[in-house]
This record gives sequence, structure tokens and C-alpha cells, in this order.
Amino acid sequence: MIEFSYRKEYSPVLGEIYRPSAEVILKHNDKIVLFYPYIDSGADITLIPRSLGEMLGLELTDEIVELGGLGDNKVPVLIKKIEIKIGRYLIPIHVAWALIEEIPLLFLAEKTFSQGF
Amino acid sequence: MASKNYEWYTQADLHKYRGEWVAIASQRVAAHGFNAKKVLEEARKKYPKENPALAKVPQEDILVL
Repeated sequence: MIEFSYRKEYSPVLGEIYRPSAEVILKHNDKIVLFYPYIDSGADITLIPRSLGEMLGLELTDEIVELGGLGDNKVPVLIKKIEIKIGRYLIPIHVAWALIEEIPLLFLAEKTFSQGF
Repeated sequence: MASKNYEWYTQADLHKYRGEWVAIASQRVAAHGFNAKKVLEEARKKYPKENPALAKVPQEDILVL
């Protein structure tokens, strides 16, 4: 079972709030990046920015698709397969590698790895 | 078991970095900016013996997750 921590933050609208986050290793071949995403139970896939994908050695191949979410903005992405290490589990997942740098948030889609259990 | 850097991160006040990437090492913000790769590379240079972690600080006050 994986348990998540909560990051204490402050919102001028809601006051003190707690957002679920995790300590995760992203791995692709011999490249690794340690990161602390928020956990998003509603997301279909994890979105990573262009430079993070470059650090993982992802290649600009495959078909570009557009992802939508909140609002009218769509993000061009490539769907790539990498591994994540969360806790003691190493799990293969698909990520949406954005072809832009400006993505709103770094989150881990809970659905994509919880199915591995 | 969570690392010390992650435990520090869960309690850290990062509001002055809103909208930016931050790299965490030695229980502090080691680097920050708008390009994740540059931020992490800068942190790795400053703390070569550590494995800095990357995080993005939300721009918005309210998130729908």
C-alpha cells in the first residue's frame, strides 16, 4: 500500500490547506530525476514539461496529440513510457510529455500507477 | 521512508516562488526559476554530493485536483 504525505500550504481564500504529494523518482533508461509532484486523483495521465522530458532522454518521435483540461487551453504532447519509483515500488507508466515548458503544475496522476497494484 | 529533504519540503513556505520550479537540496531551496532543466542543473552544481529534487510551486491559490 502506498501512503501519501500532505504538503501544508496557505490560501488567502481557504486559509490553511493540505495538498497530497509524494516523493517520486522518474526513470528512463539510465536517466533519473527525483521530484515532488502533487497527487491528482482526477487526472488521466501525468503531464511533464519539455525540459523534464529532455533530462530523461526522451526523444521527439511519435505522434503529437493535444491534451485538454481546465479551461480552453490545449497542450501538445507526446505519449511516452517511463518508470516511476514510489516507495519501494518500481512501476512502468505512460506520461504526457509536453512540447512546451509552461505547464500549470507538476502532478502525478494517481490512476496511472494505482492500477499496477 | 521519506527523505529529510522531502519532509522539509512538506512544511516549507514556498509562496515567494509561485509559478516557478524549485530544486530542493540540503533542506532548502537550492535553485529556482522557470525552466525545470536549468533549475535542476544549477542545484546539482551547487550540491554535487546530493540528488536534488524538483517541484513546481502552484501559481494559483485554489487547485481542482
